[in-house]
Amino acid sequence: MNLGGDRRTTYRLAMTALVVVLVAVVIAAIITGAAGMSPGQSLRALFALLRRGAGATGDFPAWAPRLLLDLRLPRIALAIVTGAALSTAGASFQGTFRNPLAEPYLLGVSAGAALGATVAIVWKPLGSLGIYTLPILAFVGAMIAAFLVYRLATFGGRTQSASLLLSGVAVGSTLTAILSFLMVTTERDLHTVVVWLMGGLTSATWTKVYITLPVVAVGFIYMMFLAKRMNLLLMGEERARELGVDSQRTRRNLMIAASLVTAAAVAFTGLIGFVGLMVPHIMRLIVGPDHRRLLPASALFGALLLLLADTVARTVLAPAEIPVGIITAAAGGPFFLYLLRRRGGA
Amino acid sequence: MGTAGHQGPVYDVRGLTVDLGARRVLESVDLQIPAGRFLGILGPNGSGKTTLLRALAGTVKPVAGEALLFGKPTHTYRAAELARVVGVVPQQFSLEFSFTVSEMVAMGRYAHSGADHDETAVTAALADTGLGDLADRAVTQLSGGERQRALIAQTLAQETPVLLLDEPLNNLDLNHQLEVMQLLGRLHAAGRTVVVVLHDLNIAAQYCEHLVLVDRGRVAAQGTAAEMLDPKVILEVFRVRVAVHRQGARPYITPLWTKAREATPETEALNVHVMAGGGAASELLEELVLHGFTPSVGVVSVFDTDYVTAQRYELDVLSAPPFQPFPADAVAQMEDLAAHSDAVVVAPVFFSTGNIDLLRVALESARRGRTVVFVDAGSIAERDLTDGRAAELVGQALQAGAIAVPGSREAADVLRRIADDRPR
Repeated sequence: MNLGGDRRTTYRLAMTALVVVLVAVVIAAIITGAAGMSPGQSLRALFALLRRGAGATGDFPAWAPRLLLDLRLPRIALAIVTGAALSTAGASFQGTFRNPLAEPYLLGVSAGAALGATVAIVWKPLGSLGIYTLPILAFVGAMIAAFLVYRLATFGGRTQSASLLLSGVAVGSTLTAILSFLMVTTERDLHTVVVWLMGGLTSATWTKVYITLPVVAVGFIYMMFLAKRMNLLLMGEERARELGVDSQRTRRNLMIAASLVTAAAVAFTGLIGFVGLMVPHIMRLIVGPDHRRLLPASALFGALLLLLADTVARTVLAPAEIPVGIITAAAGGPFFLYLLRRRGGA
Repeated sequence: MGTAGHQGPVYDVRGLTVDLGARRVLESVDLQIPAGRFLGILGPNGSGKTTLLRALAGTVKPVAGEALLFGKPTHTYRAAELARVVGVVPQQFSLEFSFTVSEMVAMGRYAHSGADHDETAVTAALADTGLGDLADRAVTQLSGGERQRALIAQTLAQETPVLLLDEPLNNLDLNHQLEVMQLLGRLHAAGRTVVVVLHDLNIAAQYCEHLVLVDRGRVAAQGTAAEMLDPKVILEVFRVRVAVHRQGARPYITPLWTKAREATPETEALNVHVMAGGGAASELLEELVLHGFTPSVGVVSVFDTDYVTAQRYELDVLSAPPFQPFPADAVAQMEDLAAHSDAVVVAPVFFSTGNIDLLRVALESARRGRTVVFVDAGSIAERDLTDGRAAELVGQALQAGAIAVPGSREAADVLRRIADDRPR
């Protein structure tokens, strides 16, 4: 079996396929929805919008270009950015912790971000920062949670996979308890918090995309810059050091980058679980474990998967919506069990 | 590389002291490793040899002293800088992700990032470790031995002038063990400095020119392989009795498998002389050595099996030319040795006019009140080729207080009791 040569070919094929399918899903997401417009009308409205702007008219309802521009397109963009963010963060956490089960959601990082976001919603501190308060607090929460989990799972310089997951669960539930306490102490903002926690792209706006995208893009570029080192870290901190990697610094920087990207995504979309677990895992089976290929492939597949899930979320019960977090969790839970069983059997 | 203009040894370790947690693992170790040396580090489990190697690799920080590599303390090197000078093969590694062997080996090129030369270095490393055919196999599908070789290949890809290996033969079959040692020999011959922690003294002595024996965090002994394979040194460091065979170009040892009690100060203080010959004493000598005695032997002819046995245990032997009566000076030395011995043991030797002096000296010792033990005295009539003269001497000795025992084991027991009962 010639894995080396196969993997280069597989990678090119997979990337091409992912781009093609992503474009197809984007088009599908544009033309489906609860607005009572036919796919044909939606498409015509899209082309009119692209050529002549939001004021264009034609063989479609007059409000159609505005609807696409203000509702569907930012939602699609945010789904793509968030999906890519969660997946690449998941891949980085798995690389940093040398554990294929590591994921922002399981590691308590999402819970930290959620607590930060809840604090922002309920207490409204740092009022002068306006719309940035929530992402900043979500980021701080994610970082604190990540370092707590990491420190608690490290004994004498070694981080064991099992203790990592356990401390992730422990820190996660402690933070969730604090979060729940905050929720019962507030009546006014309870609904906002609950909707945020369920995870969804319902309230997507271009502003949110503009805030999230640069953070995710910079985080992704930085992860790619560290991809080779991440490969070496998979052999353990000490071995990576012997091969010339400044392991501790690389690991710390990767954690910061992955937490940052997670926080940026989670800040606006709430808790969307399991994307960061499933996507890198499936991609690893296809393109192999090399992060230089795994990260781009995961970004594309994560974007595709979350967009698909969100499109399903807003169409199956239309005009009602299912929070997309429910769909990813419904698919991810069984997938996680499958991984556990498979690892146990191997 | 920073190594070019350096004069003096590759490593200069001075007063190196390392703690792991609250435990002192290395205690003021001094060690110099000149360029181009092939050095083996040996020692019992937990002696600190792995920690010494890690200190050389810059992975542990000393609490006192320092390990200077080309004049600069190892723990002050930047990771990438160090990885261009020193390649480390750790005792174990884990890689649960399915990289191919060549991808894994290519990771060894990290510190040299991005030269055209990368591919040649990887190919050469794969070829050197015999992994050429497995280059595209997933690491997760390799056997233990193949993984070990992949790890060595990864380190070779670093192309460092210094190689440190921590028990690289673990998990390897005998043929792969030899292949790895031969590979290290070739790398050494090509000018690299090789430091390898081993636990097999024989393999170490076959391949390494110098050995360092580490015991309880200190350097117990260091020198050439021939010097280090000394029963006394090995007993001291490994607390194992061994026989050394020096027939070939390189010495080798065989352990003395034993259920006997360990040597005690009492047994070591008891001077025992054995009357040997014709291979009759070989079993007896082995038994006595196992019980912690270091008897002198003789007189025996240099062609005698007993002579070879005594040599193997590095005992003092009085020898004589073959096929003739013992020369007078050898007999005189034997009389002297016997006179200074606490006990004389007579093996069931065939006696002729050539070696009858053995019995005469034994009888004298018995008459002086020394302990004299005859092994299998009952068969003396069958072993007497002197028309009854030998049997008569044995009879007289027994009358003078000599002890007769049926076999070697019982002879050792008698000596053991004497040794234990002796006033200090």
